[in-house]
Amino acid sequence: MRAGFDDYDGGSALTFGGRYIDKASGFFGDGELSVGDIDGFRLEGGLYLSSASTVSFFYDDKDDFFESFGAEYKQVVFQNDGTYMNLEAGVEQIDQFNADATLVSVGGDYYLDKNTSVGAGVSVAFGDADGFGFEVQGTKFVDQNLSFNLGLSFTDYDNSDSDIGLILGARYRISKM
Amino acid sequence: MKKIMLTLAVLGFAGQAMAYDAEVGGELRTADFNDVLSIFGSYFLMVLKTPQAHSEKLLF
Repeated sequence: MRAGFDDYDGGSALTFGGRYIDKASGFFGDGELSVGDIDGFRLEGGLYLSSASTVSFFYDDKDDFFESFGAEYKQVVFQNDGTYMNLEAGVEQIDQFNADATLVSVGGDYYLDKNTSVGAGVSVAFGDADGFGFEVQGTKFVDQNLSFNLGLSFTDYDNSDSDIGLILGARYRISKM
Repeated sequence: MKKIMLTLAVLGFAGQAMAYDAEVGGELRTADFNDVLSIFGSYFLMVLKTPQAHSEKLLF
């Protein structure tokens, strides 16, 4: 179960979601509902191909200005030296403000150890709004519960100026087995 | 008063005995055309991972 609050320049929205995993079959379903200035929902269904890989399909609908569907693949690769990589690839068909685009994205995070990761991702858009986006990011766990992430993003799409952005984040996690 | 103390004791005992896994966080993404501030929280009904088991976290 999850909940969130997103604040955009043009408004804000509360999001509620959850994921159900059938461990016997490996199938999972994910749903998300957004309410506020931007209403919408997102549905996702997928399959654990193994304990280290998933494939999923999704549909996203936000008010009357954004609609998309696509597929994602995720793979964790364990190295012999104890490090590992998380690799992701996706393709998404987007209809935003009546402008169609196909977005192809690949990305990965390299976990240097259990406390540090560095990652990068690239997205390329084809269609009414050609362009691409690129971001680099790093995460540091200062202890078992608290992590910080810092990154930079660069985007350059048709009908908008190229832009460099900053990513700042923090997570705190508590668990008891 | 006794009922309140008893209830708190039961809840405390249940909390100690129950496994849980939860996360809260926030992220700010700046851009000329749209800054986005996200605040989020997750509660996992099943304890699927230890805090540092990134590989499991990535998939679940």
